Parts: sequence; C-alpha cells; structure tokens
Amino acid sequence: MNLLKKGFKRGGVKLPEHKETTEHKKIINAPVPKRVKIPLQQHIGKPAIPVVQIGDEVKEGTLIGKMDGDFSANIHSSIPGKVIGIGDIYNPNAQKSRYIEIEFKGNIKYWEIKNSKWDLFSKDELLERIKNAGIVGMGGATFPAHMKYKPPVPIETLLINGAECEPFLTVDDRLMSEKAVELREGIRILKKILNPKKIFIGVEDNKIEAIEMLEKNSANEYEVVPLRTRYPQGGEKQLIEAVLKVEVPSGALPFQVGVVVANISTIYAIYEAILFEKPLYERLVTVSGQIVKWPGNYKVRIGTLIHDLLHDCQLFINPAKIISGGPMMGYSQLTDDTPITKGTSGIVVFSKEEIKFKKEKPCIRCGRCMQACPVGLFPNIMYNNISINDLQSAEKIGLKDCIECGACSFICPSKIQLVNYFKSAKLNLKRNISLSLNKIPRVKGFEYGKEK
Amino acid sequence: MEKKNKLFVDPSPHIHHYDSVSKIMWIVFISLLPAAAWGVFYFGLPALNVILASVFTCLITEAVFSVWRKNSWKLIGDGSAAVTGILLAFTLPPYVPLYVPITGSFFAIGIVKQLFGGIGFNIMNPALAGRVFVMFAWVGAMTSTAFFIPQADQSFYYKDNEKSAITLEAISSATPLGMLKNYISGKISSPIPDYKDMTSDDSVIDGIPASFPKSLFESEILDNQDKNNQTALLNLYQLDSSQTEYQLKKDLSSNEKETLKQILNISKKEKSSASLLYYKSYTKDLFLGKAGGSIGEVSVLFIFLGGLWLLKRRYIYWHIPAVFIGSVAALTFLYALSKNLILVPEYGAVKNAFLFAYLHVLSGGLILGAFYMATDMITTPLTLKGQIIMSFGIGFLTFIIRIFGGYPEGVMFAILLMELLVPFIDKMSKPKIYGWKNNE
Ligand code: SF4
Ligand code: SF4
Repeated sequence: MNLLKKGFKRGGVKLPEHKETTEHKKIINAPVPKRVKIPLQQHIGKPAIPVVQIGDEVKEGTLIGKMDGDFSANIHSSIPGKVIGIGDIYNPNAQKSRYIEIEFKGNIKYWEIKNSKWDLFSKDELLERIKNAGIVGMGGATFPAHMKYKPPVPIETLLINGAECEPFLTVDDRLMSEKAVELREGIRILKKILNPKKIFIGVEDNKIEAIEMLEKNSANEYEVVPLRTRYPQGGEKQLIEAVLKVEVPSGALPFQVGVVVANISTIYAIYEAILFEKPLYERLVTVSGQIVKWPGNYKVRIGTLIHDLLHDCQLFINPAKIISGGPMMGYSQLTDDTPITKGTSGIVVFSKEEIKFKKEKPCIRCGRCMQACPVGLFPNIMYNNISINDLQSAEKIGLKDCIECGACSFICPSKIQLVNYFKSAKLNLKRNISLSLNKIPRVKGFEYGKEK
Repeated sequence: MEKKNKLFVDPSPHIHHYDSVSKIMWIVFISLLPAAAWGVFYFGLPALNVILASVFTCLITEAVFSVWRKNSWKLIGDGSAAVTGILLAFTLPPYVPLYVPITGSFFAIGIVKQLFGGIGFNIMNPALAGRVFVMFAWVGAMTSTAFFIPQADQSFYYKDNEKSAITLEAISSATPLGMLKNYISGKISSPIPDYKDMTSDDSVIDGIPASFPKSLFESEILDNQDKNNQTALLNLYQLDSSQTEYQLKKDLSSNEKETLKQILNISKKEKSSASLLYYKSYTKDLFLGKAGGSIGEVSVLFIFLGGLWLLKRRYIYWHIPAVFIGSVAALTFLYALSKNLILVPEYGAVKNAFLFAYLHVLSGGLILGAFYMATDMITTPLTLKGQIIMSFGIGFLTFIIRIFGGYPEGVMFAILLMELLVPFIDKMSKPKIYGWKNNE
C-alpha cells in the first residue's frame, strides 16, 4: 500500500530508477591513479589555502590545503607521491578552482583503528577532529560538517538521509547494506555531539536489503523509516516533511525546527575520521550507464580524473555525455579531465544514442509541472514571469523556495528547461541584476569547444 | 578513449519523461478515431467528408500561420491542429455543406489559436470556438441540415427535399433535449416525438404514420399484437431500401385505414404505453450510438472508451469528466424530482427523474464535451482544486442553459464561459507552498 507509506506531501515524480545495474555490486577499491588533481575548492565557502609547494613529498592524508575561515574545509592528499603542479581547473559543478597535482610514488598506507575508545573524547574534541579531517556534507551540498553539526540551539531530532532518490546512484544503498555496523558507530558519534532525543533514518522502500541490515544492527540506537520511492524524497526539506511531518519555514534552516539532517556517506566519513584518524581523501562513487563494462560502486580517491576512473571501468564506446552526480541534479561535464571531489556521488555516462536533445516547445499549460513540484509552486507561471523578465513577480509566488530539484523539467511534455531558468533567475535576484530572457544563460545542447 | 572527445553539455535534469506534446496530441487523435469510424459508418460518406475537410483545413491553416509567424510549417506535426480538426468535425451535423467545416476550422486555428500566439496561448478551446462561430455564421446551413434527426428520418427527408429546409421548430422538437424542453414548458403535450411534427404533410395519412423506425415497429409494437394484426401490418408496411425503417406500401382504402388505426391504436389513451416503448428503445440506442446527432455525438460508447484510454494514460484527469457529468446528472435528477416530471406514466417519480437525468447525460454531446473539451489542458486550471471548481461550473451552467436558457444545448457555451474564468480560478486555487504561512 503505497498510499500508507510515509512520504512528502506535495507533488513528486516517479523516476525510472536504473539502479539494478549497481545496487548489488559490492563496494570495491578503484585502482590507485598514477596522478591526481585535487581541487582546493570542494566545499561551499572559501577555497583552502595551499600549504605545499611543487616538489614536496606528500603521503596519503597529508594536509595540502588549509581551511580558510570557518566555512572552509581542509584538503588532504589522496595518494602518496610528489607535488608536480598547481593550476586552475573546473570542478565537476563547473566552478573554477585551484588544484594541486600529485604524482604517485611510494606505498599505500594501511589504516588501523586507533581510537576504539572514542567515547572518552569530549564533544568539542570530536568536532575538532571532524574539522581537521576536512569532512563536508557528501550528499552534494558540501557544507562543512563541523559547522553543520554545531547548531546554535539544542536540537530534538537527528535525521539521517538514506533516501538516495536519484536514479543510477547506489553508494548510500551499498553503505547501508554492507557497513551497517560502522554506520551505527558513526551515528553514536553524532549522537554524542548533537545529543538529540530521537534518531531516524529515512530510507526509500526500494532498498530492501539496506532497510533489513539497518534494522538488524540498530541496537535501538535509531529507528528506520521506510519511505515511499518518489523523487525528491531525499531533498532535505522533503525528508523532514516525510519523516517528522513538520515543514521548515520558508528561508529557515532545519535546525530552526530542531532537526539536523546527515547524509549516509558523511556519517561513514566521520566514523573513519574518528576511529581511524583518517582524513577525508576518498569517497564512494557509483559509476553507471549502459556503456560501462564494469559498472559498480567504487572507493575512489579524491582528485582522480573522471577520465582515469572511466578508463578503469572500461567503456564499450566513447561517451557522449558524462554526468557528475545523479541525472536529476548532476552536472554534465565539459571535459573528462575533471577531478572527483568530495561531493561527487556518482558518474553516469550516456552514449550518443541515449541522449536525445529535444527542442523547447511552448508551454501547453498541462499543469504537470505544478503537480510534480514538491514545494507546491507554479513552475509554469514563474517561467512566464521570468520570460518577460519580471523576476519580482516570480519571487512573489515562491521562486526563492524552489529547491531546484528538477522534477518540473523532468515531467514537462514541452521539454522546457524550467529549473535552469529558475537557477538563473535566482542568481540574478541575488546579484540584484535583472537580465532579459535572451541574456539569461540558456545552456542548450552545445558541443564542447563551440561555446564557452 | 582518446582526448578531445566531444561531450554534450546541457543543464540538469538529464533525463526526461517520455511524454511529449506531440505524443500526447497524437494519442488523443487516435483515441478519437473509433468514434469517427462509427460516425462515418452510421451517417455514410458525407460525415467522412466533413471530418476530412475539417482536419485538413486545420492542418493547412496551422502550417500557413506558422510560416507567417516565422516558425516552421512542421509545427503541424505536434498534432494539436489535427485534434482540433477532428473535434470540430465531431460537433457538426453530418450533412452540412463543406464550407461549414472549412470556415469553422480556419476560424478555430487561424483566429482563436494562432492570433493569440499559437499552442498554449489560446484562451478558448479552438474547436469549440470554431463550432460557435459556424453556428452564428451559417445559421441557415447549420439548421437546415439538422443535428438530431436519426438517420432513418434523415435519409428519408434529405433525399426528397434536398435543399428545402425543415423548419427549426420541427427539428428541435425532434431532438430529445429540445422535445423535453418543450414538454416541460408546455409547448407540446406529450413527452415523445410526434412523428407528425417531423414529417411533411403527405407522409402522414389520416394520422397513420408513413414510416416507423425499424426497432420501434418490429420489436415493440408488434409484440402487442396478435398474429393476424402482424400479418395485416406487414402487408401494408415494408422495409425501405436502407433497411432501417418501415414505410407504407401504397395508398390505402378507407377500410384499410380503419384497420390500421385500430391495430396501431394511435389514440390519446395509448400515449402512455407508447412513451414507455419509445424511451425503452431510445435509451438503448442513445448509448450504443444509434440515436442521431452530430458526427461525434452519436457514439457515446466509443467516445467513452476513448476517454477511458486517455484516463488510463493520465492524459486527462478523471476529476473533470466525473465532476462535470456528476453535477449535470445530480442537478437534472433533482430538478425532475422537484418538478415531479412524468415522462413515462408507468414509472414512479424517482425512476422518471433518473430517466430524465440519463437522457441529459447521454445526449447533446455531453460525453464528448466531458472527456475531450472540458479536459483540454490549455484551457483548464492548473490545480486539481481548480479543475474541480471549473468542471462543477460547467455542469451547473450546462444545466442552467439546458433547462432555463434559450437553447436546448448547453455544453459548448458552458465550457467556453468557464474557460474565460480560468485565470481567476487559477489564482483562487493556489496550493499551499512548503514552509509558507497562508501563502504570504
Ligand atoms: S525545480 Fe523548483 S519549481 Fe521545479 S519542481 Fe523542483 S522545487 Fe518545484
Ligand atoms: S509541464 Fe511544461 S507544458 Fe506543462 S504546464 Fe508546466 S511548463 Fe507548461
């Protein structure tokens, strides 16, 4: 009975999941790359300051970028070797950033549990260690963890986001299935830091194995909440609505309703950082797509180039489109020379046959976008406003509350890139400039090299 | 994998729903084809001509205007013009001269749709607007060709007096809705069609009808006669060439007339049972699509099935037809009950009211309107709440126009009127936005 299952109230869409290719593939280590390019900007906030120079020898986990202010995060080397270059590169999310290039040399380190008695640490000490390990939110928002888990007010609930509603991606699913015990330990650490009254894990009900394992290993630390499989169940606000039946007021942050949301991968990183004293220099990445010979869930070192990773996974034919993240909110890449960062949860590749570029047609007022919107906005009316350059009217009917989930663009039969307009319009509003429609960056299916 | 590999870049999301506008439109078009086929089968080639003229004019007009508005003529491929064409044809009588569908389609696509900015910008359903346009533009052609005369009568009269118009009164009294309306207002005394009204004088000889629809003649009347009468009748009536009705064979002697009158019991006293017989066969015909009407109206069954298919594919929402049909049914039922309307004396008040509601729901293109016109995405509110408000409004207006207004028909005007209110309904039926207090 789908209707009785918990889920967010408004809208949402049912997506083709495409998870079957990787959801039963065990987590394995990706081959250590010969060289990595580690961006210094892998988080929101200021980029880290480089603390190494060309020619320096580094080890795995050596600090190479020091955080610049509270909203920044430390960056560590992901392979042992020598710094051979510093330059500029585009992050997977099209942000320009400095990078440090390291060439592999030496031996891989084996990490052992050092602090099995982490319980002796104080709350602040734990936070300090998380901060030093450079942990950020690994669901994609990349908000520095030591800030996120230090809310200014005491909180009621710790909500763990295991929904993973994006198609193709299965890393959280695998983590929950294989590392339930470790995750429980990570949750205990967070519990000590946050001291919440209740802990829930929201998991979409298509992850049967994960739910089973979590429940088996819960030890009454947390409660597993199966959720309706519906996009965007993993949106922070939607998850809160689904599990706790409260709405986060417009413009507010979750802690204002007494909730902190944590991502599965982040919890695992915290577990490793506290018990192994291992900084965040590798993460789980799902590599998937029909043309991938060995799709799977890989432990990939940060800074590995997509090119190298795909080479290791073997492609049948050359890809025509590479997406970092899930296909709903991920970014398509200009080049495969882009490094994996802390926020990259998946790499999805499409062949030329699989991408069909559809021209935008006029809105036929079918109302599907409105019915799909999990926030309850009128995407087509906002689109109309934006297209006559009336950003203020769009703002009045809720443009700023758009979570940019893309459900509206997905469902639109006229193939209007609604969410793209909303992102541009929000940026314009923020910068207080008002561009006419033809100046709003309408990224159309251009080819690499032709347009910037 | 070599370098300098060309990669496509576009904004998220990178997957899309498989439905596209053209797919939706063509499937709507296909869902209308069975009903069109039935219309052609039932009315013959003239109906096919009307449909083709209408669809092709729509396509051509769309192409011409698209080019004029600096778009590609290929826009007609999205199928919306074809849907407009077939829907417009469905609302027309089958025997109209072809300039009626042609001008109607031109008006629908050229004026109502393209001049307002093309697909998505029209504020009225083009097919309906085109229909109303031809109704006023070609009053003569539209009325002389009659909407509601069943095929049997139609072919009979049409052949005889090709051009001479049957008067509007005669026709509207032949439509069940018009007839009911006249009956309620006291213009006619009996709630069944008086065949005398419909026929020119020489087709009724001393009160003996010159023709009967086959079903009425065979199954119902003869059942009540004994064998001798049956033989006598069959001696005097014969099936006409189209096999749909019985016609008098020859001039009758006064003796024969007397016998016939006796057999047929055409007298005031017998009216009651005649009306029972009439409604029994009529209600069945209505659903199966044998009751006459415009091209698309005849086949309630096929329209209904087509609509169900669209519902299943989620191209239309069930709320609209359900609320629309439900509100018309409920209102007419209550009205008949309150008026204590008696159509068939043998039935009780409730059953009569039910019959009245049934007739209203199944005739006059209401099913076509409910599944295909009121659900037109472009001209319906965006939210479910708005759609429910709108379809109730349509049902209510249909009821008002049909019962109290000047026309026996109300669906078209009701839909067009409510479409004008859509922007207002949209404003009133905003959903609550996440995290907002009272949408402030
Ligand atoms: S992208 Fe924004 S407007 Fe579109 S469905 Fe998501 S929240 Fe609603
Ligand atoms: S889904 Fe697309 S076509 Fe439909 S109302 Fe929204 S913007 Fe218009």
